[in-house]
Amino acid sequence: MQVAPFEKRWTGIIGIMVAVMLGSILYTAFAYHAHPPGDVETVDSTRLHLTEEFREDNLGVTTRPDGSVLVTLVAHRYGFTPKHIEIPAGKPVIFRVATPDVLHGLHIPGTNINTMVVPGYISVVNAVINYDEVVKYGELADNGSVTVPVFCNEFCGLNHHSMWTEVIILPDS
Amino acid sequence: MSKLTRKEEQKILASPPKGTFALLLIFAVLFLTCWLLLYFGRYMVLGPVS
Repeated sequence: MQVAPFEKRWTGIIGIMVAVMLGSILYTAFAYHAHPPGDVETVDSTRLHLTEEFREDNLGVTTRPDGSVLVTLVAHRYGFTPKHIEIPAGKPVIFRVATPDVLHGLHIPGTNINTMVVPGYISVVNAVINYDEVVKYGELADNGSVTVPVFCNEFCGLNHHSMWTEVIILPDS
Repeated sequence: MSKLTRKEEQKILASPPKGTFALLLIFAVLFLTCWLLLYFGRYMVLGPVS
């Protein structure tokens, strides 16, 4: 088969483009752990409030011994529990979210935290919040903390539009 | 009406499509630059997630 020289060159350029894009994705996946979650954790949605992790008084923000922050949330029609969430910027944050009713979403503008919350599963998102980006989307207070809205971005019922809360991002210490 | 001679026409038709290649090259550079800007300048800057 005869291939014209220009066609060979164009094929080479396409190869370089694909290599650069794939290389960038692989580099960030290994260097920054930027990749889709690998685990699937299930939970009985009908008994969510009876589980140790998602019992109402166990929800909220916990700082772990390694300095990372664990945020345990329940997304339900039509809100998020707990209401008050304070997260430090620049530190590893782990979100663990579950729902007792229908499909919901969790989206925090100014971050890449954007996940579906599916009944029967625990949605886990590991993230590091960039203060400089979040400050563009939120309301800056005198003490440097930024209040950012949190949205449900999956249609979950007639009051879906009112399903939102706020999260306070604390500046890097 | 074309003022090219038959011989000139044949020469053009037989030559490689340099103009098309130049256009494709411009497209490739623009596409890759925009992709890299979006990925590193807009997506990764918000903080990595996994």
